[in-house]
Formats: sequence, C-alpha cells, structure tokens
Amino acid sequence: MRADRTYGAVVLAWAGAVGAVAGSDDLLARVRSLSARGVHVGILGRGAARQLGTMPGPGQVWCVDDTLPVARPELFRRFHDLGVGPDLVLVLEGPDSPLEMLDDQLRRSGRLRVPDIDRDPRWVVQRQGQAANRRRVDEALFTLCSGYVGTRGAVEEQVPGREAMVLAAGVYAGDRPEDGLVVGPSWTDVSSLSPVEQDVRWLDLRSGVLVREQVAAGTRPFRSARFASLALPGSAAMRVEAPADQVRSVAGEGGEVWRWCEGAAGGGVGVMIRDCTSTDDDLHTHERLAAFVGEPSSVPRRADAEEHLGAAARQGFDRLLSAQRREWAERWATAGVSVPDDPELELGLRFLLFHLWSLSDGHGELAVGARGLSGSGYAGHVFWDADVFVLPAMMTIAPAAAAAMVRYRLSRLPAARAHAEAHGCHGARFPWESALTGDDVTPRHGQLGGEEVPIFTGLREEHVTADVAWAVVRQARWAGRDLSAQERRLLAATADYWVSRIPVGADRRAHLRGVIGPDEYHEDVDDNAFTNVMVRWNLRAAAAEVPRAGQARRRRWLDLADAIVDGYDEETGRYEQFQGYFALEPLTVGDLGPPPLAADVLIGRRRVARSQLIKQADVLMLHMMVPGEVAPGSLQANLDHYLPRTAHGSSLSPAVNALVLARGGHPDQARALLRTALRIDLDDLAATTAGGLHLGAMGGAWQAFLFGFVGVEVVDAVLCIDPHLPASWREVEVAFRCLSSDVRVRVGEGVVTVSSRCPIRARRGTAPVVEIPGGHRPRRLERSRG
Amino acid sequence: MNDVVTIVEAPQSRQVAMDVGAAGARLLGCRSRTVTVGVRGSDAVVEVARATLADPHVDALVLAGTPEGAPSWRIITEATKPVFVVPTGSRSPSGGFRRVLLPLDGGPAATAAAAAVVRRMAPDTVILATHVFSEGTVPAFWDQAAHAGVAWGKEFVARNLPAAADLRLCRGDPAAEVVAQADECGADLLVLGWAQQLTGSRAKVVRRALAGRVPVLLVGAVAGEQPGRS
Repeated sequence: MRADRTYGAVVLAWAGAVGAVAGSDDLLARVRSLSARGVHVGILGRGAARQLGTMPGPGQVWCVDDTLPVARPELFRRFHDLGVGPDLVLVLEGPDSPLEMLDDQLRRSGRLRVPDIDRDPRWVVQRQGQAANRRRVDEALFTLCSGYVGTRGAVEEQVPGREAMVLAAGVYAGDRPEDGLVVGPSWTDVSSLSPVEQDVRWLDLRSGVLVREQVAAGTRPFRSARFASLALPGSAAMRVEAPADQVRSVAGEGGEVWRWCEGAAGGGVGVMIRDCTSTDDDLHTHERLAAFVGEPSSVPRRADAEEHLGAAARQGFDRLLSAQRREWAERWATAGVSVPDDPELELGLRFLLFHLWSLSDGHGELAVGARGLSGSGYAGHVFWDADVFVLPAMMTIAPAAAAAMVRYRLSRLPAARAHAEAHGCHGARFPWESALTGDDVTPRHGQLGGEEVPIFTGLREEHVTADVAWAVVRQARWAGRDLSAQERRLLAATADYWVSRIPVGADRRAHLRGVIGPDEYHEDVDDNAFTNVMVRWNLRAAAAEVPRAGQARRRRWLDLADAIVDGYDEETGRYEQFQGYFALEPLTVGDLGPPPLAADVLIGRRRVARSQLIKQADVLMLHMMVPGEVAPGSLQANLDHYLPRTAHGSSLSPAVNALVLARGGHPDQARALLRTALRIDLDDLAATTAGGLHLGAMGGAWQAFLFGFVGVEVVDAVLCIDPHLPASWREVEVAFRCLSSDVRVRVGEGVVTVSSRCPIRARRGTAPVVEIPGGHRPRRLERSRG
Repeated sequence: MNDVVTIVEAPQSRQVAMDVGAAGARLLGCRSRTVTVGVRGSDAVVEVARATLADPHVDALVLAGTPEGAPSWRIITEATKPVFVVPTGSRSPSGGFRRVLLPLDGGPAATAAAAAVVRRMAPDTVILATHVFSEGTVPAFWDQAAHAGVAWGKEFVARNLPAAADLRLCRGDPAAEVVAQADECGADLLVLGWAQQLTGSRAKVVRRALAGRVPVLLVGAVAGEQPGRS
C-alpha cells in the first residue's frame, strides 16, 4: 500500500469499524467527502449500514459484516464491478490513523493530484523508453475516444515529431481524394513543460485512463492522467503534476479557451478547455476539462462546446473519473474476453476491443475510416474494411454502433445510385473509397514501394457493393431482426446494379469481367470467384428479403444468380480465383521469405501478377463471409491450395486466415496467425501504426477469435457454437451482444456453457436447439450424439 | 577544431586520398592533415591508424586502398570513429563533397550512426537518401498502394532522415542498387552505417561500395544489428 497514491476505493477494516464511523462525526464526514468525490468506501464490521445515513455519492459506501468469511472478497468484487481493481483499493487495517490517511486522500483530490490506475498486466498496455522518433506509434496506440471524437495520445509537452490531433468521425476537410479528416485543435498541450525523459505510459484498458510517469531518479516525477469520458460523451479530462517551475497554464485559472478548425467542406472540429491549477508541496498541479464539437457540414458552435463543458465542470474531474471506471466496467461485463492460458493474446484482444469500443458512437451515422480516429492515415476514408471487418465485430460488442455504421451507407445510397449511373448501370454501386458524401474518393495514383503506380481499385474493385449489402444483412440477422425498409431498398438497389452490370450469355452463363478481387496482386481479371459468389449471394439475399420487389425483378435477380459462374471444380474441390489463375506461375510465399511480406513491393507488380501469389485471402474470404454459398466441404481443399500462396501482404489477411483455419479444425496453426493480427499495431509490424491503428485488422482478429476459435454464429435466429481451441488453451470465456441480448459463453475441457440476459435459443454444432433461459442462468450445451 | 587524418602508404593513391581527406575535413568542419607511413607493410599502417584513432583530437580517418586483406579492412572493422575509404579507382573530389548519397536500411542504430555524421556536414551539402526494398527490408504489409506509400514514406522519413533530403525508393539487391545509384546520381561520397562485420547484407553493400568508384564514409553502429524490416 503506497501512501503517495490516489486510490479509487477505501476499505476500513477493523472490528467495529461501522460503529466507529457512525459514532465519529470526523470519520463520517470524511467518508461522506470521499463518496462525494466518487471514491467508494467499504466498511468491514458489525453494524447496520443505515447508521451512516444517506451518502452523497457517486462513491458507493457499503458496510459488510466481517463475520462472514466472504466479506472482504465481496467488497472487492463490488469495487471491481465499478471498475476499481484491487491495486486501487486502500485498505486501512487498524484504527491507528484512519483520519490522517483519509485526509491525505481528500487532500490529494483537493490539490488536483493525478489519480492512479490498477497496473494489472492483463489489462494494461505499457510503453517505456520509446525513442523520440517512434513516439508517434504510441500516439496512435494511446488514442482515446469519447463519442465520435478521438484524441491521439501525444505527450503533453512540445517535442519534435509529435502529432497531437483531435479527429471527429465523419468530419472531412473536403470530398476530394486527397482530403482527409479535419484535424481539430489539440487539447492536451501544456505549455512551459520541458521534455519529460525516461517516462513510462500505461493505458488501462479496464478504465480507459492513460497515465504517464517519469521514472528518472532524483527528481519529483512528472505525472499525468487523462481520459475521454464515457459518462459525458464529447468531453475529456486531464491532470498533470510536475515540479512547480515546469508547468504553466494555457488558459489561465478558471479561464476558457475555444478553438476550432474548419475544412473546405464547411464542417469543422472545435475544442473548448477549462483549466484550474493548484500546488501540493513543491508540485504544481494542473487540471483540464475539455469539450468537443464536430460538425460534418457546418461550423462547430461555441455554445455547444460551452454546454458540454459546463456539464463536465458540474461533475468535476473526480466524479467523471468514478463514472468512467464504472461505465467501462459495465462495458467489459457485456463484451469481454478471458483466455487465462494465453495472457499476451488476451491483452491483444482486450486492446482491440477497447479501440473498437472507443469508436462506438451509436448516434446518427458512423463513418469508420481505415485508421479510425487514431491518425490521419488513409485520409479517413471508409473502405470495405468497415463493412466486412469492423462492422461484424462491432455488432458483437456495440450493436447500436453497428447500426450507425449501416446508416452511414444507407444515407449514401443516392450517391451510390449516381455512381452506378455514371458507369452506365442501374441500381447502386458503392465506391471503393468513401468519405463525406459517398462519392468515389479513391485516388488514381499511388506508390508501390519505390514505384509510382496507377490505382485501379476505384474502377474495378466492385465487390465492395456486395460487401455493403452483406454487412447490412449480417448485422440484422445477428440481432435476430428483420431488415428495415431502407435496408431492403439498399439490398434491392445493389442487386439491380449487378443485373445491369453483368450480361447473361446465350448459354445462360454470366461472366463478370475486368475486376479486382480482395487479392489485389491481380488487377484486371475475369470472373473473380470472390466477387462472383458475393454477387450471387447479394442477388439471392435480395430475392429473399425484398418480396415486394415484384416477381419480374426478383426473377431477374435469381436468373443472374443461377447464371453467374464461380470457378468451382467439383473434382478438386477448389475454386479458381479467377479465369486463368491456375495457369500462372506456381510461386508460393515460401519462395520469397517468411510471411507476412509485401510480395508486390519485393518482386514488383508485374512479376507478382504473373504468379499465383496472392496478397490476402480471396476465395477463402467466401468461407469466412458466406459459408452457405460455397460448396460444402470445400474449405480444406482451398486452404491447402491458397494458404501457401498467401503473402499476407495486407494487414487484413492474417485474421481472415486465422478464422478459416480455426473453422477448418486447425486451431494451433490459426493461433499463430491470430497472434500476428493482434501484434500489427502493438509491435508496429507494418511500420505505419504512427499513421493510425489498423482497425480492419482489429475487427478481423476479433471475428477470428469469436467466429473461428469459439465458433459462434447465428443461423436462423439460433446461436450456434462449434468451438475449436488450440491445445494450449484449457478454457476461454467470452461475453458479447447477440440476438438483442447479452450472452456469455464458456468453453473448457470439452464443455460449452451459455448464459444470456434474455431468453434465446442455442445449439452446439449440429445438436438439437435448446432454450437458454434469461437472467444469465448458465446452461450446458451438449454435443450432437450423432 | 579536430582533425581528419589521411594515412597514405602507396604513392599511386596518395593524391586522391589526400583530396578525400581535404574534402572530408571541409565536410565535417575539421582540419586536414596527412600521415605518411614510411615503413612498408600492412602492420605498419594498422599501427599508425590505431594510434591516430586513439588521438582525441582526431574525428575521422582516411584510408586508401581496398583490396580485401588490405590494412583498411582490418581498421574499418574496429574503428570507433568514422573512416573514409578511398577505393582504388576512385575519382578525386577536387571540388569537395557536395552530393552525398545516404543509403538507409531502416536499422535504427546504423541509421543513428550515419545520421550523427550527416548532421555535422556543411549546410550546403546535398543529401540524397535511398532505401532499397529487399528480402531483408521488405515491409510486412502494403495495404493500399493509393495510401500506403504516403503513410510508409512519411514515417520512414521521420524516423530515418537526419536532415532535409530527397528520398529515393527502389527494390532489388541493396549492394548493386546502392553502387548503381551512387553513379547515377553523381554522388561524390557514399555514407554507410554498418555493424562493422564482414558478413551479412550490410557487409555486402560495404564490399561492393569499396570496389566502386566513389569514396565511402563508413560509420560503425551496434554490432549484430540487422537491417530494419519494417
């Protein structure tokens, strides 16, 4: 127990403590003050809680009878449920000096001292001693989001190379390919702060609090803590403490500063901050509250920021922090993961959940760019990553946010119709890269290693249209609901697009020519299996889900679905990725080096195009996304062929292959790829994490874990579970959202147990469906006897 | 002001080496002086070089002659200070070192070592940086060519370039590419950070460069460090 810490809870643990508190005005007053500041108090001892009277809150105060053997664990469990881990609990075992210790905690609060976190290695991402020119990676890793606004985790002082920025989802500087998100003013800068060296930073995933501490010997340490508030979306808070000569306020005591940045599109991001300062011994302490406003198409209004900031100020830092811990604890209770035998992988999964969840604003529409709000990379553009990789993960942790992502696409349906028309087609064609308006913003030129190259994805990577339709249906089915009228319109419009795009020949065969599949090493191919099968799925889904489309229209959809070729060879069980693929040079990735590697950068665009090397799963994407549309039993044959040819040159690739390997019964091989997917940002494997987190890879990794290893799926409103765990995992537990309920699954030693907040139906593998009662009463799922 | 010391032994290489010494001294803001080894034999050169490097007033050394087994090969693997090596067929940098080619493989220590020297260079020096994508340096991922180049290049420049410089990216065999680029871009000096080991991919670049026509400035870095593969 360190005296020089600010705790989140206090336990008074001596016989008669309840009576002592009730009987002492001084002690009771301090308990009340702690409660008012959001500090929870547990009192072990005999006596009734009512002796203490009503507490001001939000800190909870409990009296627990210490004659019960579980009294202390019960208190710690309650603290845990409020987001306060055991390392954040101050336990006062004897009555020797409780007043002084409580006074110290109250003083620290009043003097604006930096709070602590529970440094549990299973919940904390720690970075130490990063070279200055690699700190941008940390900035991305430590991005904190509140509502639709993200703040990169830049350090507080001005140092070379720092890229502090505030980004708001969907607030673009313009709608040209080169326009990215509007970079809003930073709110974490503290002036007159000399560079802090030898620092350690901890991101507490359990509470969403980022702490920094100087570890250099011989000085009073610099410390800071910040969080983006969950309780008050659109606001954030920070405290800094440092030797008195090192810090000066920006805004001035009690003053407010309002700054904003606008883009050419008319939108902008504004930040208002309010500072206050104090001192404690020779330390200068500094507290800042911030409120954000982001508007996609109008100037951010100061009045809105003032309103948000006022709400934050009325709460105050301590109460906001207490609420922050509680809200995150509630989040982790509804969607979380435990893999006790694999702590590194478990932390990676929690890290990705943290960042996906940080984006989960469920209001309005949600544009999820390839790098989220953690950096300016990829211009904030929305790719298929959002629909195929992020959204299916999001729907399992934050269904409202997944619905908001769908709304982003729905509201751009008119733009997609115009895009189709511009290409001489009917219906709706979604662009490869989308931003503010939904117009195509794909650049036409790019760079492959040292080679300037034309970019054809905007013209030819058409599968995104079917991907969008798939995502719309996927999230509705996962929730166990029917499509809305607007969603059905989108589905029908995409089906119409394919009908106008793909001619059916006299032989009743339909070919889709001149496309790019997910494997972007081959840029102008005919009958890409992935695209064609996704088109077929799109057409059949439209026919099934849009009965009011009219018989003739639906007939056209189904005729095309029946006519489109898919490259499947019954004899080998393999899909040919596109016409002529099998005749290409049979290079494997092992011929070049250990994957993942960017084969196109290494051997050049033309050379890779002449080979069977592929950038990422293409045919195998079908086994991930639409297993019902591929030939039964075809997974293994296609794994055998395509996996050795996969360079994993896309950061999306390892996760997809991990998923299908796990589903295919190879969980140990899958685990290695899942680990790669999880380390992409944590280890900066791409050397581009500084530009933002690879959200698609994160979403893919979560899907690999949940849909692959745990083997969860929803089929006809039934939760199906078919787990495939690596040999080294004895058990896993996962909580997620599904079928409009909170579901928990435990898999261990061959036993699958399910509980749910609401009644749902479930089955294991092909076993009969069983009813899962509500109220989180666990039910064991038996294997099929067959 | 410290010295750049040129050690000459063979008369035929004397003038070019002294020119390199003078140009190197101007480049690094030092004085130039020359030590002639009177006694023939590689051991004598090595002894003089070691003694010179031990002098705290010496910032860099200039050695002529690069056949493997020549004295310079022993010195370059142990020198704790930068060493200019003058290949046998080297041109004389009579106009000074104005265009410097700086190959960067992304290894942090080698980059830092080379960067420390580059920062000392005269401000009017044109720095041309290059990175060769090879088996040892190929990035793990290159997501979308429309954006990846910008993202990767921005970070590579921020991490590796010590000064304002043009960065040229190419792919192939690093040894061949670096030497070819030195010729193509008209560089008068090639700056190589390396681990002072005669095996490995960096050593291949050094061997090839020392057989070329452009003077080479070798800067020792951490032993054992490999090129940075993203």
